[in-house]
This record gives sequence, C-alpha cells and structure tokens, in this order.
Amino acid sequence: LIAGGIIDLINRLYFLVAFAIFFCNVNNAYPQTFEEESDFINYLFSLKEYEEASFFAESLSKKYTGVGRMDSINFFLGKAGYEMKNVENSVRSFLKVSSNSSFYAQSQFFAGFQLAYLGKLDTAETVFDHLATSDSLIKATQAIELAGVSLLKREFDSFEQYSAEFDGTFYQLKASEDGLKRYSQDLNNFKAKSPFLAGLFSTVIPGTGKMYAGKLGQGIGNLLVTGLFALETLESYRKDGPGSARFIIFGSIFSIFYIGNIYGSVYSIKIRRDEFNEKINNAILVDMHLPLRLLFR
Amino acid sequence: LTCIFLFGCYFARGQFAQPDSLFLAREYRSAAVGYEWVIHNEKLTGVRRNLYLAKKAECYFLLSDYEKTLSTLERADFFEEEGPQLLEKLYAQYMIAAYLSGKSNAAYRKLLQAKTIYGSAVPYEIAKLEPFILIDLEMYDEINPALERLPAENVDSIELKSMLAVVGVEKLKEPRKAIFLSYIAPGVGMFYTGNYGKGILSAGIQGIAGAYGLYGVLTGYFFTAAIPGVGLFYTFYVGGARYAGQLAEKRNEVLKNKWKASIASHLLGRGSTNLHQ
Repeated sequence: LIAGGIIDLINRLYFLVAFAIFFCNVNNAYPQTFEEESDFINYLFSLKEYEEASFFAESLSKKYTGVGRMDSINFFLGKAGYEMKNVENSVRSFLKVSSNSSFYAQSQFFAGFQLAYLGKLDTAETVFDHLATSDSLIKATQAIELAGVSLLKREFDSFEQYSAEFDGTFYQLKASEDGLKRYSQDLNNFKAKSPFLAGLFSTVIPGTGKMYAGKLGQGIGNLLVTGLFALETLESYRKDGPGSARFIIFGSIFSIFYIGNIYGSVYSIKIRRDEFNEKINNAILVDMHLPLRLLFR
Repeated sequence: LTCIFLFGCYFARGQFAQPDSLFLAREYRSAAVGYEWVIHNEKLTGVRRNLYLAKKAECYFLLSDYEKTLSTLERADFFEEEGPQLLEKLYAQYMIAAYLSGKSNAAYRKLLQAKTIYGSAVPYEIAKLEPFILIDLEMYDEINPALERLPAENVDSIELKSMLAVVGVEKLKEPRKAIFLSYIAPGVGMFYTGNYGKGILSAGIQGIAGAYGLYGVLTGYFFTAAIPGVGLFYTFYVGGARYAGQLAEKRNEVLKNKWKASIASHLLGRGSTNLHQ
C-alpha cells in the first residue's frame, strides 16, 4: 500500500514536472499576441535589422487578416523597405495603409517622398494632396512636401502658393522652408547659356566656348592643344607645301580637334544645365526628407 | 501514461522551441529571428545572451552574410566570465567573420583584446587565426613568430603551417623599385614585374619617340617633329615608370588574393561553432 502510494506520488510529480516543462517551452516560443509581435518588430528596427523586421512582418501578413492589423503590418513592411532602400516595395506597402490607421499620415508622407525620389512627381503630388488632417504640424509638413514637388516640377506658381504657408512656426521645418525658398530663387536666377554662342566662341578661338560654359580649365587645355596642332599644320604648310603628307596628317589632326572642340563646347552647355538641375533636385529632395526624419523618428 | 504524456510534452517542445528546430531544418533566416526573439522576450543577459547571439551569428555565417555575423557578435559581452568555452568560440567566430567580411583590422583588435584577457595562454582556436590576420594586414615580419607560438605537436597546427607555406612573401615585388628601374632604363621596371612583352614595347615606343624628337631638332621641324617627339618620349617615360609600379602592385594583389582565397576556404570550414548540437 505504501509502495503504491509512493508510485502514485511519483506519477503526480511527473505530471507536475511535465506540465512545467510544457508551459516553459510554450513561453519560449514565438510571441503570441499582436502587441508582442509589433513590439518585437520595433525592437528589430531599433537594432537596424530591417531585413529581419521585413521577414517577420511578412510572416505576420499570412497570419492576420483584420484591417487594423494589416495596416500595422503594411506600415512595418513599408518602413523596412524604406530603410533598406527597397523603394518600390516600400511605396506599395505604405500606400496600403488605410486612413483610419494611426500610421496613415506617416505612411503617406514616406510613400509620397519616395515617389518624388523615383521621379513620379504627379503621383507624389496626389498622395500629399489627399492627406486630410487637422494637425497644424502635419499640415505645415504637407505644405513643404507639396512645395518641394512643385519645385521639382518647376511649377513656380504652385510653389508660391504652397510656400505662402511657410511661417517658421515649427523649428523642425524651419531649415527646409528656408532651403526650398532659396532653391526657388536659385532656379529663377539661373541663366541658361546659349549653345549657339558657345559653339560660335569656339569657332573663333578654340576653347573659349568651354570657358563661356564655365569650364575654364578645360577651355585653356583645349586652346593649348588645338593651338599646338595649328602651329604644326602651319609649319608643315610652310616647309613642305599643301600637297605634302606631313601637311595632310597634321592638318587632319588639327581639323578633328578643332571641330571636336566646337561640338564639345555646345554639348558642355547641356552638361552644365543638367549638372545644375541634378544638384538642385537633390537639394530639394534633402529638404523634403529632413522634416520626415525629424517628425517620424 | 506518464511516458506518453512526457513524450507529448517533449514533442510539443520540439514544435515550440523553434529556433533550434529551424536551424536544424536549415531555415537559417527564420532561426536567426527566432533567436533574437528569445533574447528580446526573455531579456537575456550574461552567458545565455552570449549563447543566443552566437547561435544567431552562426545562422548568418551559414548564410554567408559575414557583415551580419559580425554585427551580431559585436553585441556580445566578451568580458563575460562565465562559460569560458563559449567565450573562446565567440572570439574565434568574431575574428573569422571579421576576416571574411574584409575587416581584418577589427579581427586584429579582437585578437589583441583576447591576448589581454588570456595573457600568454591564448586558446589555440583563437591563436591559430593570428597568422591569417597578419597576412591580410601585410604584417609579414610577425607571421613566423606567431606560427612559432602555436603548439608544434598539434595536428591542426601542422596543417595550418603547411597551408601557410604557400604564402611566399619573397614573391612580392616592390612597386617603388619597379618605378626606379624604369627611370634608370626604360622597360626594365616592367621586366622586374615579369611583364617582358610590355617592357620591350615600352622601351621600343620611347626609343622611336626620342629618335623622332631628335630628328626634328636636327632638321628644324620643331612643331611637327621635335615637340611631338619629345612630348611623346616624356609621356611614355614617366607613364611607363608609373605603369611599372602599378604592374608590381597588380601582381602583388593577384598573389595576395590567391592567399586570401586559400585562407578563406580554410576558415569557412572552421567557422561553425557546433552550438546547436
């Protein structure tokens, strides 16, 4: 009887130990609630493990179907894509976040900015424009983003309209407001140079077209090289006459350099314009990006 | 019944304790996230945190993502006194990952840290990595002393020494010497780097250009012969010397890459920590 009692006690103890092991292991498993899962994704973001955050969020998208949770998941996917510079996927996920979500404004801003970065300016404008909000800081940010898109599209009237809302109230936006106004002035003050004049200058004096385009060093270099070939051609002409092989060779080299220099001068005007536009577009995008990084860190 | 129930519980454990199961199923990305979850959820500290970080790092190592292996191990506590064997593995894993991700400086810093902690008794698993790091950092003079410090009777160290024998520092060429030789006699610097064809071509071009320049001076063709001849000679003389230096560097780079590839394949086979078994 005593032995049976002991065996029974041991069995009960087994059960207790087994239950303890079972629940401990359940507790060790992946998170069970959506809040825990969201918290874990945010923790991965804090570690800058964006690929893992995206991977985990992707697995959650197969697990949940509710609108609220899907909004959060899409926001996480968008954010991970943005951090990994996977722009297309990021925009797609951000745009799936519904207007009821607390992540809506942030998602729209980041989607719109990335669309602007991709050069899809009309879509970016629509995204920013549709963002309905009563929050004054969000409204001021919206004005900056719309003003930035207007500048990228070189629509100065629209820019004037949006920049009229710049009042410097929010310190987070002040630098961007000032920057965009400055770029607008730079764009207006930029004097487009004439490719015809550049070509003409180089025709008269080789290299001067490049100097006119703002490439002083290249212009001097071209002047010296073409000048040397001109002297060589002249020497061949004087010493050996126009029918000599020497004159034909050096004359041909001179002609190639001379004509190439004219073409290069014309083309350098286009290069100058493209460089200016690229520089200013990058600066505009930086000033569109800055408020988003400050507001939604 | 007890046995059946316990089996059920342990079976359930197999299902729920996912990271190790995922690792064994070679689902390394999922396993890495799983290990991170355990670190986060259980707020692990000390030796257990180190263990899970090492397990996670191994997932990345097996995915050939050495940058992430390194960034994961950087979160470990290398001064943790408990679990000395794990610490050894962490040091070795860190140094291998740093080496393979092209950060031999970081590997060397970790080696110096290990030397500070272990003193003269640096574990073999760590010490044997020193020659490889020294090769990558081009600290050739220190390779032999490092090899001599390794235990002679260890089979692995014999293998290591024979593998390192392929590294022939004497085969490297000095770029400055190649440049100097080219200035003394055109083309000779290229011969020194083993590029005989290029040396002959360079000397030939310089000879013709120089002769053309001289012809221009003698015949009075200053613009069409003297200036182009001298100009071409000067360009090929200076350019040829520089090119000889570049050829020496290129040759050295090829040799070093060959050594590195041989070392990397050796280390890849040694990077596993066997923590999951």
